[in-house]
Amino acid sequence: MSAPAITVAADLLSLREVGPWLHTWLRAAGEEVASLGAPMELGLQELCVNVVNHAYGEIDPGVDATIDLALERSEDGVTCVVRDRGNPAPVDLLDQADPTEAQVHGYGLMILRQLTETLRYERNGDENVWTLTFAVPAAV
Amino acid sequence: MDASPQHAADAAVTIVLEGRQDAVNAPALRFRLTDHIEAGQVDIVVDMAAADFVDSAALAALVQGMKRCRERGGDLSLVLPIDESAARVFRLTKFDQVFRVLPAGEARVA
Repeated sequence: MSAPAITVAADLLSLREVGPWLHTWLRAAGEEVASLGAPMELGLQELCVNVVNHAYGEIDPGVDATIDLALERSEDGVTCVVRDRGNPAPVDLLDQADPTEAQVHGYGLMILRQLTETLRYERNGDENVWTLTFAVPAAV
Repeated sequence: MDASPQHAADAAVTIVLEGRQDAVNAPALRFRLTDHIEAGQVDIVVDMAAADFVDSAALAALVQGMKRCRERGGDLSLVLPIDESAARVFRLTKFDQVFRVLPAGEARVA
């Protein structure tokens, strides 16, 4: 199994490293969670783009502009913890994404909310910590 | 692979997008659409049948293009990705109901 954690530079091109790492880990974690690859890749892409553009958007030079991602198999799916050292997210950020209507801005978090079973944000010291859980769809 | 334009017989411009369409290449798509629209080509078909990943940045570029085309009396139509995973972003945002969606193959020039 590939390493359950990766650190990528906080730029849009480097985010393309996340997908191959994710899929490799999921395949090794078993057939059941491998099906989460596509929705997880989209969800992590949306979150990480948000981190690059907003958390690190107007950050002082010298800050460790990287994003840490860690995966863990949970009872009914996969949990991913995403950490960055950028600016804090606005407190009402998660309330802005309304999944019930098409909108010009805020697609990313709207999508992320729909893809995740749970989505939690906290500011821990100088870190933003996002915890995402993805559930394996129940067998029909 | 990035966008490559073709010109259909009905004068609509067709842009074919293959592979990954994300925040990295969304600005290029936005510029390409802007070039066509500012040249008066406001009937545009974006064929994404062979796209294998689409994020919200690419979607936003398409939505902006669609709005600008419609403001000028035209439209931006889509061929959605054949790959269900790549088409997910359109379903989740309900933009599959906002764009005029064409069947795969219809936009291609013979």
